[in-house]
Amino acid sequence: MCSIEERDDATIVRVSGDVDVVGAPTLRQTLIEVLAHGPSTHLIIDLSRVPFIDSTGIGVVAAAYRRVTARNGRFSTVATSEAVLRVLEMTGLVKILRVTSSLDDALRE
Amino acid sequence: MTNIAEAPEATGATPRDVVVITLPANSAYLSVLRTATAGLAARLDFTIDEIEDLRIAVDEACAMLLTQARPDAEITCEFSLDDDGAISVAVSVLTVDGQQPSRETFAWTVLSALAGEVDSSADSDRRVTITLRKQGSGPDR
Repeated sequence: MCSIEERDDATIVRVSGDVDVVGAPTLRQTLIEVLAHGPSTHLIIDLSRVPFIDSTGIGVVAAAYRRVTARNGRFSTVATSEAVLRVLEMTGLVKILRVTSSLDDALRE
Repeated sequence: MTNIAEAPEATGATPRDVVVITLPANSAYLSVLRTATAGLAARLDFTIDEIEDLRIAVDEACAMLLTQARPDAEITCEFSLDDDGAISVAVSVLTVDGQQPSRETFAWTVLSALAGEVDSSADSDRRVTITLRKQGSGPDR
């Protein structure tokens, strides 16, 4: 469900599958491990292969955002699917989580 | 046990169709319910955004109830496809505590923002129900 890639100063967590109450714990665990390994300066969560996310999944992403920004890191999210963008827009998190439509855009953040 | 029962096809005199879906109260079945919800919303000519809203709202309501469901309980979703182009959904489950979901949670905020009309109730037998109603804009409205 999650794969991790290091590129320059960024750690990219690519997620696939639904991030609902079933999938969110896997993403949470991955992010805890990534953040424990530490201090990459830019965390990118790539949700472009996530067809669905709910408040549980958004909570996991927001928790990672808080951890990264608390240590003065950069944080970006990639999202393209209708359902994911819908929740991010509706909750007003599009700007806070620095949502972009492609990984290249996120890397330039 | 998964069981999908559809009311008889409307003949023109029937004002609405009711679809009842009963699933084990297990999060593994949430994706099945989301797919069914999207299919029903599409039947009423909901727009893509409205379908997404309803799909997420039903998921949120069920996920909330699953946290307090009795072991081996079934979750029941009753969809009323109204003739004014709205869908009313009642999601209910027998719970361990009979408590209505807190309205102070992020999940409830998301649910009410997406569905428009949302309410909850609890019976004396500790069955907790979340009801929501989503009006579609549809091509004819």
